[in-house]
Amino acid sequence: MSEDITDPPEPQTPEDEPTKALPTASQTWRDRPPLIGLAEAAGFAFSEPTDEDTIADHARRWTSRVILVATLLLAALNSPSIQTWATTLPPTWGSQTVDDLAEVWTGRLEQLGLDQPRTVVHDHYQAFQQMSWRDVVHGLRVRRTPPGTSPPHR
Amino acid sequence: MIFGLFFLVTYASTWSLNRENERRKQFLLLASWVFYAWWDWRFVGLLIASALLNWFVAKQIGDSENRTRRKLLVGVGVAINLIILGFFKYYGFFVDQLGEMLKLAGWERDLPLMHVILPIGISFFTFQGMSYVIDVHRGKTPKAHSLLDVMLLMSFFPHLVAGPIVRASDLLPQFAKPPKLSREMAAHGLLLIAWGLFKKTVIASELATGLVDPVFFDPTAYGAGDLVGAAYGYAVQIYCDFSAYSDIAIGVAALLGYRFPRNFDQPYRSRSLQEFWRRWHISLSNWLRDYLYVPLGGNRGGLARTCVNLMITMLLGGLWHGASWTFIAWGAIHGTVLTIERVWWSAIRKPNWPRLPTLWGVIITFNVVCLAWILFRSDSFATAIAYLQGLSRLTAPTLLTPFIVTLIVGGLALHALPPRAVERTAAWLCRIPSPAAGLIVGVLILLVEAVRPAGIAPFIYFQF
Repeated sequence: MSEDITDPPEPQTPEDEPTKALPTASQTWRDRPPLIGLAEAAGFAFSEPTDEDTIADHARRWTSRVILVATLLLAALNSPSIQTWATTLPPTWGSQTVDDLAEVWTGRLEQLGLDQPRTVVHDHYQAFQQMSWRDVVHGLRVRRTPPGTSPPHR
Repeated sequence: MIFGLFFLVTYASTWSLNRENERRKQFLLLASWVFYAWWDWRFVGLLIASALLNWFVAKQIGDSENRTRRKLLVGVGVAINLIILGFFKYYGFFVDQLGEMLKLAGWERDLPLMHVILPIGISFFTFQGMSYVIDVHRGKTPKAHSLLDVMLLMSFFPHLVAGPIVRASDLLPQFAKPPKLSREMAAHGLLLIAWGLFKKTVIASELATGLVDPVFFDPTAYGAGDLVGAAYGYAVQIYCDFSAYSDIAIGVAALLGYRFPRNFDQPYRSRSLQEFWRRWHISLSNWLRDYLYVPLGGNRGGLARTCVNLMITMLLGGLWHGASWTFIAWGAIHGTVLTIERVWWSAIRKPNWPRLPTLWGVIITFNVVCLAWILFRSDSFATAIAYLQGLSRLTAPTLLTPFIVTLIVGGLALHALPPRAVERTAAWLCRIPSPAAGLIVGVLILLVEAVRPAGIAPFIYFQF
């Protein structure tokens, strides 16, 4: 195996590169046009990223923050999934510990009401899943019934 | 959940090694082996052996000036890859067929039967290995700088088990230097992952359990309505299942800084079968075109030869999917219709004849594809015939609930979205601040999590 370790770039001194000349993430991304056409031409799903280290570093930090925020949001609002997953693990000391922690975590978040958004969506979706054609027809009739009159019973 | 944790650790570790490309690649290779070993650790050895073989053969080809030797080497390399694939994937099938033939000839023998476990993703990584060796021989790609690059090319976990088939010429240049991430790429990757999760867990899984699996298990128990619904349902299921895997693979690779080629492009809006194969499993159809159809002569030998080449390509394309006559028949249907299209356009149709309206072309193509899917999904010819016979049994549908019909219509309606809709959304997402983008991505995944069923079946293409 050949050794091809790329050395990190030399740190730039203020004399080499004035700070004001460095592009900021917001400036850079505001100024850049969409790159969809380039990606399409190459057959790749998206275009080649820029070679500029500063922009790439900004992009990486942006991505890491997005992933962090999304993960925290899911950890807070999607705790039932964590608990369901924990119960599917084969019974070992480790999996039992994970299961116990998940149970406590889910219980605490339920007390705060953070399970509500997921539960509301889940319940509505289940109601839709169980709907029959008769329910659909009934629903349409209810919609067509003038206000103030009772809908026909099924 | 486990894959999510695995990805978070891999993401954080690889980017922390960003300044040291070799160590980064070593880490990614190790992570890929761990990923593969999670399914069955014994086959990691096969993966390593396959990569070693292709690296060695390509190196010999690259180092040799002698044309005959290069030809011999590429022949040996391709043959060994095919033997590996043939043994693990087709051994049982061919032994069964041989037994049947000997029985017919009156020479019945006890043939050595072995239960060979099919290593997950073997069709993908052997095809990748073969394309690397052939490309080096053709001079389309230089030999890799190191064994590590070839190992990672074949083992890289996002595409390892179900593609897309990423060529050496696509990935090796990306391995040569530390990858760079752009906000566009990251936003696109995150949206593709969320979109893939939605298609797989909400559409494909529900259609499988609620309609397709019961109907294909016993087609005689259902009437025409359910059977037609299940055929369309399977068309939506397999698209949402396989394209979801490709989307997630492309998205995960993007977040690690690597670009994969697109694998699907709204296939059911195709006006002909030829167009369908430019939009469906693009990496496989390009592979078959470049390494099978063109070497067979492509369209250079006249109409009759072109039709024969098309037929051979599609039959072998069918066999690639699995060791079963139903897959070969699926390939035969595609080959026949492609041949008919070719003959129609080249020999029958006059230039002054009016063109078929686009909508009719889309409807006819979609129904031909659905007919072929019946064979693809059936576990035997007997099941497929029972299914087709049942289409004349006019009874009220029992499984086509409003929910199931919404999933089928919704899955087909995805093809009416503007082309590159995810890319356009990503172009917007990458311009907003990270906390807001994180909230949007988190809410999208939360919505998928809230509506998905409890147990999710593995991806369909894992079996190939």
